[in-house]
Amino acid sequence: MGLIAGGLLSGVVLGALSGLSAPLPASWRYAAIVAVALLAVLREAEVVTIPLPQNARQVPQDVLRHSPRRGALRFGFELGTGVRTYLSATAPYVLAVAVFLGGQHLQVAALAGVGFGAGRAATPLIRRASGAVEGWDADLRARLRIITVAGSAALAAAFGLLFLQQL
Amino acid sequence: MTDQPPPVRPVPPLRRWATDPLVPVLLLTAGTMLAAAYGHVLTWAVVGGLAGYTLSGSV
Repeated sequence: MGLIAGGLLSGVVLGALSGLSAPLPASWRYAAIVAVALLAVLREAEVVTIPLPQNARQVPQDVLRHSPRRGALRFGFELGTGVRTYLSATAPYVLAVAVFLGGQHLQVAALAGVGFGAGRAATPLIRRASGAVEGWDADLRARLRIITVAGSAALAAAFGLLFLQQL
Repeated sequence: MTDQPPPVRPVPPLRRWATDPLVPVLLLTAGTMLAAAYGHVLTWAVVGGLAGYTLSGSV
């Protein structure tokens, strides 16, 4: 729940700020989103090096000490916002740019935020469902590059398709 | 008497396959392409899910 609430907050904030990009023509904004998504693919494939801003911290473990229930909610919320901890992939930046430049309704931005939180929640859920967390962690390490490159490529393709429909 | 670690039960192959870390990426990518091809509003939710899942390597 915390992850989804955090994602929802970030989505709504970005959606509210997206009005600032409204004066730009829609075709420019969509072209910029696709260009950023393609750059993300290159960055994940380590073809280009682009430093990106991030909050270089982890959620402190002591948030879980006082009240495990409230602590877990806060832990998830901070992770879900996507701005309170390390970001090890480029796709969330693409999503943020897309929500900011996309010019969608606030509900759509909220939907993207909820999706982001749910996507983050999928990791611990599927890890637990695997029944062998150590093996799953090893599999994740081995596949992480594929996951980040494929994720960015899918975002580029999806925004490209949406862009074509705007023309 | 020595403390023996509890025996690790092997995970059934189907469960291991179904919970592979790549499975969510494949499902979300397919969902993203399908939703985007139709220009459906849910594209944004699925794209959000995919972006969130790419952060699996960080906490």
